[in-house]
Amino acid sequence: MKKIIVVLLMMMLSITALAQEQFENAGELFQYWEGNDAYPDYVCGMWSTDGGYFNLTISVQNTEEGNRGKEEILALVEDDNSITFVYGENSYNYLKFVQNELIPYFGKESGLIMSGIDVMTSRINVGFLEEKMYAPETVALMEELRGKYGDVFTVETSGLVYTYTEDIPPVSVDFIEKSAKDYTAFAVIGGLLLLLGAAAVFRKKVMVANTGETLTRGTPSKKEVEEAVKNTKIDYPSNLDTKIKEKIDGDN
Amino acid sequence: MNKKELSLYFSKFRDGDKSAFESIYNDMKIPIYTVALRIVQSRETAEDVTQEVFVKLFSSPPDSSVRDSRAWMFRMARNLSIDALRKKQCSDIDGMEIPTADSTCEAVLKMDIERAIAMLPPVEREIVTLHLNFDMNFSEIAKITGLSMSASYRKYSKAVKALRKMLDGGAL
Repeated sequence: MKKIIVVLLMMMLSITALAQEQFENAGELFQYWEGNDAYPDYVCGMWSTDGGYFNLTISVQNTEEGNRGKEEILALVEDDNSITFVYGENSYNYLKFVQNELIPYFGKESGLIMSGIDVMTSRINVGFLEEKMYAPETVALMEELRGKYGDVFTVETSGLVYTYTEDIPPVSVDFIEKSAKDYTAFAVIGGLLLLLGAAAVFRKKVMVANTGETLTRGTPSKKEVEEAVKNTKIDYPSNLDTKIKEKIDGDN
Repeated sequence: MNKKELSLYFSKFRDGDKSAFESIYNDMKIPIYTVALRIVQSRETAEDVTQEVFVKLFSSPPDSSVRDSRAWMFRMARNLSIDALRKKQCSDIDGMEIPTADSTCEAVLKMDIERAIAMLPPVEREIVTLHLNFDMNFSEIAKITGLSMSASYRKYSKAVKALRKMLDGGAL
């Protein structure tokens, strides 16, 4: 089985990301892109260069936009040495879009039970049930998908035996990791997350009002502030529709 | 309405379908008014800006080279709002208008947030509104504000930090 890249590790870290004034290194840029779904279209993927978090390899399209983008990225990050560039083929944003489009195709009938973005090859790896792997309908389905979305798929054909169970629906897997080394990393990061979470909880002051209501006081979290702003609705003036209509009618 | 649908309506409108304007208007009136209000902090001026945006749109819609019509409208609203701000010199938050309060906690909370937002610099108010109220990512925001993507994000982070401070011990 081809190696499917793990981005989960980075995503976990991005959860703990604090608002930064600048991107000191590639890891911070990743947090920003991932957290805000803001990957530029010329980016094909991003992964750890050395197994750590701070030095990342960014794959960009070998186009005018991609090459200009490299300069833009370097300008965003203070530590230029934390970034290594390579060229890729397909935009990561496009691959995410296609990955999403695959959802209706999943199921026992089609045999499609796995898909994952391989950021290193900037392609989508798809997996079928063993008995469907070489079936004519699978070939037809892949032709259909390639016709619709272009040649962005790699079909897993060896090293895996998929089974289908009714109670566990097929899933689209973005992130698969098997090496023991990375499991260790997950454990360490999981512990770190727990500690950070606990720290965040204990930092808040909890008061009980005389009504019995529990009030949480202290600095609201970034998420709380964002939610509060999101939930604020502005009332549109009831007479403005008429005013604008009259103005447009009058001008014409 | 998603971006593609909106773009389709713009295309129809350019081709002379006046009914498409109504669809664009219905979809964009609240976002445009909200952004204008957040920048200028005056209902009357925000109404004027909204009116001007749609009147201009009606008389000269963006040509087909404009790739993101939504961003184009936000940019126009922004420019007109900033012009209005300059004219009126109305950065004084004491004069700001806030949503009508009733006795409910929700209204008080809404006032707190609006007051806090009003204390941010105009560009930060705009970025916070575009990102949080209208789900625009920082790449889109950069195109509207003319700032770089990283500068937009930095201003957003700074604004949220400031809001957290201002709402410290408040209703949240």
